[in-house]
Amino acid sequence: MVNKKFLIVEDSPTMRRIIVNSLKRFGVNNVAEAGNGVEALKKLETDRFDVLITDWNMPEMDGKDLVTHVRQMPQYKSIPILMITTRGMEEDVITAIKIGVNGYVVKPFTPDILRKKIQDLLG
Amino acid sequence: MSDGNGFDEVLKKIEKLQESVRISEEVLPIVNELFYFVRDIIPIMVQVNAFMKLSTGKLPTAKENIANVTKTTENATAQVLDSLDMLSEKLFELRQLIENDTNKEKQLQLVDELSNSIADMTFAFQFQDITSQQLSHVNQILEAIYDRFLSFFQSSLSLKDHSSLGGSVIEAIEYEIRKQMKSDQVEHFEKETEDKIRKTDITQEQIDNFFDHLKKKNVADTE
Repeated sequence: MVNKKFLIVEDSPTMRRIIVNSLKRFGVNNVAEAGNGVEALKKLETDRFDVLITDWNMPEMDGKDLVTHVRQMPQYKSIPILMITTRGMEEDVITAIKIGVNGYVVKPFTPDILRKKIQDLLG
Repeated sequence: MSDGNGFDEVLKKIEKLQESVRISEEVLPIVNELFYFVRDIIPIMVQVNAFMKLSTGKLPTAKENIANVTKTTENATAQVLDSLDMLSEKLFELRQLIENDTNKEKQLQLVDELSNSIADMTFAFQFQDITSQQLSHVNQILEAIYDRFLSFFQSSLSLKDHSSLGGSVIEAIEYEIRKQMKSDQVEHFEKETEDKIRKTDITQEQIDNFFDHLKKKNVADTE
């Protein structure tokens, strides 16, 4: 985990801060941030990331569309993707799996859940 | 009446009535006016009815989301307060250990526990994101309802131009509305919906200065 480069995509500055601070506590210091899917795609194109953590509900481009785009990028076909969202319906989880999300966390979550999900993602 | 054909059925009946009734030349224009007015107002009434059913279904969701905001913030606040209590206790324990200069291991353990408590508190602030989404949904519902009301209002105003009867009816409604706006019911509604939440940017310092100024003024006036 500690050697991986993370991209956090989340429109709430508070949530981004919570996730980034948590990653720091887990020993991860190589972290970039984006406020929506459009910003995230720009960063993904110009830089190289090992893990994508994304929210669902975001302006301009939501997490679902972002993940769909990312899975079409050859360099990111297999990038581990964790979705962190308030959406907790069964159909949302099914949609997320169908578009290629590898892990799903519902807000609010605890530090332990976040750590475990990331560890599961990275095998 | 069959689904989707209700309005057409009514129009057909009125047309038949028009044809079958033998009326004088003086009455015919009035009947025609009535027909045009009914033809114009029925679609609006249908839309209003459908909208009322739709929006009354949405309002409980909006209310629920607002209640959820309160619940979410209460839970988060409780979590933070619990963590703060625990922090206080551990800091007190740590202080004692340092004072007595005993048990370095225990001191370090307490520092780690303090660190974890701070992390827990940080996570409690997820409520801000969650409640923001809940309120955004409520806002969406209210905006949609508002837009719809506006469009009905504009549709009803256009009745004025379609028939002279329509014009007279709308003018009469407008007159009654002006009377209503001066009524006690409206005053009561305004009072009930008054925004009492503090929204200004005024600082405590400005309030204190204002207070002092008033106090001095009072003293000066009485001297």
